[in-house]
Amino acid sequence: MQLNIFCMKNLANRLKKIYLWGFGNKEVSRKLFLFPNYFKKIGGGLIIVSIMFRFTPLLHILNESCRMFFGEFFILGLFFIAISKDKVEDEMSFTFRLNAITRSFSGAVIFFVLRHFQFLIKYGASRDLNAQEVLFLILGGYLILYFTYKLEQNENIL
Amino acid sequence: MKENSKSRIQSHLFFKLFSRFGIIKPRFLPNYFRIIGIVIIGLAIVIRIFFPSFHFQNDSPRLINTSVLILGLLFVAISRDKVEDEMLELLRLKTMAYAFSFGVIYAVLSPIVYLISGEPVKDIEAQHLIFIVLTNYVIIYFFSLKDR
Repeated sequence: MQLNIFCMKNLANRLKKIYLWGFGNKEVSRKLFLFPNYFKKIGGGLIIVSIMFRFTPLLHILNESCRMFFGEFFILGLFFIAISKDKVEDEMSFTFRLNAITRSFSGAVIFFVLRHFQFLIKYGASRDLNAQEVLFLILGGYLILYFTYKLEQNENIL
Repeated sequence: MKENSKSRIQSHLFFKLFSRFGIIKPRFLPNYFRIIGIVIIGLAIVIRIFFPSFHFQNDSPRLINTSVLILGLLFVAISRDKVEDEMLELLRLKTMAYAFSFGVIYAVLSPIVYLISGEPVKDIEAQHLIFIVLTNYVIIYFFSLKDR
């Protein structure tokens, strides 16, 4: 019985370690995992392909599942642009990235909750948004904020 | 040249609007929002458990209940700690980035999983996604705080 409890505790600790991968250390490193710079081009390519398919008559032949996949391509493209390295990556851009993601995510959640109440007041019933809309909102907000910060930093340097 | 580039940047109303947020220090809610958040989460869960008819009759109450739960989680997530130092701030921001990346990967992979399993591909609800990201964030943040 005691051995069983010990094994369970051991297993729980191991699972916790896997779950907290990278966060268990006392010192938090000032580094983020980012894709190489050429992922920006791949992301741009994915966005262009998804927009092209969205506005061509070919899409009407495809079924609903395929249409959803093009939406996924668009999100994936934005994600690749968002988490790929810049040509010059320093500590300042690390701070910019983290600030931008926190603000865009918090903003999107507040927008999403308010939208529910707006629907309720306007139509008397609530409607759910789909995940793609929310992801588009967050990633778009992140990219706008991040590049604004970068521009502002360049302006200060100049 | 210097004046030119400055006026070019400043002429964008869009960038002007966003630069008002300030870039160096992230702003979090005061510490008492954590208690407010926990109370809101508790109320939402109690309503869910003890009033099952609440979310079966109509779709709207269920959605509002989940929205309120999400709002509570957000309050807990972005409220300040009693002692806030640079390391905690870093941990908080890094956790947010990881939780969000997890959410995006989940949203992108789930249609593929539906396709492989032979089921019709369904849209993921926004509430579902936000709930997963926020729960992940709160769990990772508090576990790593406890380990510290």
